[in-house]
Amino acid sequence: MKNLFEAATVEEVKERVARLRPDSDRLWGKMNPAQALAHCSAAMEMAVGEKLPRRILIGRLLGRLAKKSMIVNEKPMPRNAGTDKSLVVTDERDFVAERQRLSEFIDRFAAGGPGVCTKHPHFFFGPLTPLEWAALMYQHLDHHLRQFRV
Amino acid sequence: MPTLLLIGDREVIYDPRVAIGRATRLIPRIEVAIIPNASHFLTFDQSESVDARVLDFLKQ
Repeated sequence: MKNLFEAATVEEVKERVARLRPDSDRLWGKMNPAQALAHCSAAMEMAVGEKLPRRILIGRLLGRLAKKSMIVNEKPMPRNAGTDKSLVVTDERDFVAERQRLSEFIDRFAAGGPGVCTKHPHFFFGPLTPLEWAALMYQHLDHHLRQFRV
Repeated sequence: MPTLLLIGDREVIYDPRVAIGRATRLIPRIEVAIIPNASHFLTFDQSESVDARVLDFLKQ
């Protein structure tokens, strides 16, 4: 599984984040690039246990299957996939500040290694190992970078 | 078999009124509710109220 504990993957993602522009074309969804950066930071806050969204019923029913497909088998996230309300960003954000914050979060996550990941279950997928969190965080960043053709 | 149909009031993939009309015509013992402030992803958008409704329905 491609994941954020791999130095080469971290470099790839950071290089792509650096290529994102405030006016990058959006292929799907509603967020602009600054909001997407803030949303990705919020997801990383969840991965390290600074946000603890509760498990939702649909996740208890389908989360394990989706985890196998998306995280284990590395099937890309579907466009317009749903997310937890606590991760939604609708207010305007400063692009440069959000890009810097996300880049620092990626470094912090990678440097922290498995010990940095929360044991709190993911709101949809349920309990994840640190490697699964690292793979999910890569998938999520890749999803939103592809959203803006990066 | 009792059936619960929940549709978000911000549904845009299909017309909620048409879907509810067809469902109530075709499915006996159906319970229908419109979930406020919810899109097609109502299970994410309003997870607390949707989860509560589903669990209440299953308890019946």
